[in-house]
Amino acid sequence: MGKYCKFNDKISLFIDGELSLKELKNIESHIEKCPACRKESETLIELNKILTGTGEIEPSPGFDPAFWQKVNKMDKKTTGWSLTDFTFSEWFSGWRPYAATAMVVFIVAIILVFGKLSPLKTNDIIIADHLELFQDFEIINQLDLLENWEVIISLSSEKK
Amino acid sequence: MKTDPDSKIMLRFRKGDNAAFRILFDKYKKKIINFCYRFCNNKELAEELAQEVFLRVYKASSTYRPEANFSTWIFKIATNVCLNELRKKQYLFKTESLDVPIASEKRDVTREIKDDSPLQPQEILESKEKDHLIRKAISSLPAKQRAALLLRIYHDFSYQEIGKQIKSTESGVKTLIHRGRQNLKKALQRFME
Repeated sequence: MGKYCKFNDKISLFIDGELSLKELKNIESHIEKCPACRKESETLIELNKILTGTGEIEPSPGFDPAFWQKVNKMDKKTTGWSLTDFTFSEWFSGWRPYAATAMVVFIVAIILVFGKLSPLKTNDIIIADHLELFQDFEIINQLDLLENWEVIISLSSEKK
Repeated sequence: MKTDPDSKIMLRFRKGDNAAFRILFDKYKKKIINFCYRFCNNKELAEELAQEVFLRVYKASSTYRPEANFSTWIFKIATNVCLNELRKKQYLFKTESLDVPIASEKRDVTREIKDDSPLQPQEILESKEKDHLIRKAISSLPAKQRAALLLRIYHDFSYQEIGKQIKSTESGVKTLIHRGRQNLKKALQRFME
């Protein structure tokens, strides 16, 4: 076998246990016969040892306090005020004025939209369009039938 | 998928048990700091990045779903934080040495730059300096190669898990790890028998 073997890029997978059982057996038997792959396997194992042999650092004493300080600051931002922290400027700062304005605009829009669609308004228009019918006493007498406008119209046409 | 014990602890935190977060914090603190340290080779920055990781875990409590092991998830966050920092401050991560080639995704380029290190040859053999050079070699790798190797070598994640953490396919992870090892082999040849 030459210096570089076609199985060379499988050695990393072999070291990391990422081969299927069949592939593993093939590579193991190949490594026994191939000096290049055997050398590569030994080198990568040695490399792993060198890398994992480096020491770990310990967290500095200020790590925990600094972190919890950030958490407290973050919690204050998301939950808003506390009784001890309440100030006028905090209440009217940030997103609150915008939310209040948006709410007012929304309520006004709802009133305007539903006001236009109200049945009473519609009826007022119908009555105004047919005012001449109120000259007839019989129709006035039947005003409680206003809800059934078709009845009023039919009375009018009978009259005619 | 069976929920791992740490995911169960995170779910307790999601329900409002703040002591549960403390357990996870104490368990993963050193691992995350060291992951960030090996990535950026700067202790102060590593601790800042680690704090950012835990802040993201803290914030994510209300939406946390155990779709993977907790360790896979927290290291995914750590990888994202480190990669984002690298993009912001790339110039801080470069190392210059005659011995460490500039590794790119496609090929390696040997830099002809004078090494200004004050180390004498005999000092290089000291364990502390050896660690230093190993860290320099790791931090000279391209970002994704570095992340993939650190996750594999120091934290034993599978290629599939690493793929989720660095947003790559399994095949991509194989290539990254293979190339990363080849680059480190060249850089650390002096320490190999």
